[in-house]
Amino acid sequence: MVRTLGPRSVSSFLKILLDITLVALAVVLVGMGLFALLSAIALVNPAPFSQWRYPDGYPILPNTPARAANLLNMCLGPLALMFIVGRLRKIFITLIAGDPFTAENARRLRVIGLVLAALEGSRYLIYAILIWGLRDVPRFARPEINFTALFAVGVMFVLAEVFDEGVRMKKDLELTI
Amino acid sequence: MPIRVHLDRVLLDRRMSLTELAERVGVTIANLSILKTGKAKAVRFSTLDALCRTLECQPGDILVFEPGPPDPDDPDDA
Repeated sequence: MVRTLGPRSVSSFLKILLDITLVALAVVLVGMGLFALLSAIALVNPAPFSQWRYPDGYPILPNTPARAANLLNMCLGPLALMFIVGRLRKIFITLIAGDPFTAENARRLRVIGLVLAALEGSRYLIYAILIWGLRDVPRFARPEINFTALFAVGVMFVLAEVFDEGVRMKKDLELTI
Repeated sequence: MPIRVHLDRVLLDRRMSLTELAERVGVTIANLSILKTGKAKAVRFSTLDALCRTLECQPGDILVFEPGPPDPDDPDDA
């Protein structure tokens, strides 16, 4: 029988995966941060980066505000993901400890839901800013409705309620003689 | 909650300490204290059975219903 809670269980295995993901995301974010920094410099002074091109001649660094905005949007993804993975990691620590029904976990799940909602909303916000600021919005910057993300937001809030109920039941059980 | 626990009264009548009751019933002193001070949310029938056997009493000797205004801090009373 596979154990789901406690040490050497599925939870501890998933926590290791989350640890690795967290480190990988940090590396990606540092790389993207450097790229964003160079892009910001290139937007102001493109001359030193004029030779930085893909084999087909397309510039590597964003050369328009639309591409820069899209890059910013792309940076938000790993940043939010890192935040979410960090919270999930803390939830899994309580799963390994065998005591997942805590008020902190309910709050963490609610925060994850809010971050997912904000991340999804930011895509439309950046698109709206681009429409307002530019006449022609590039195709890559146009968002599509992500039903999976919206569903995940709903699931997070429902799970948070379930954990709140779990906390209440645990408290009742503690006071049952 | 209008249910009052008169465990201390029964214990006094039987000249038994809480520690002795805890040992004989198999419930921790901490849990019996929760019951005695009226902080318990629920009592298992098995616990009540063990208490009544040990103290040679009826459940009504330990638990008493005393009607009063509902406790606004207790969601079960609302």
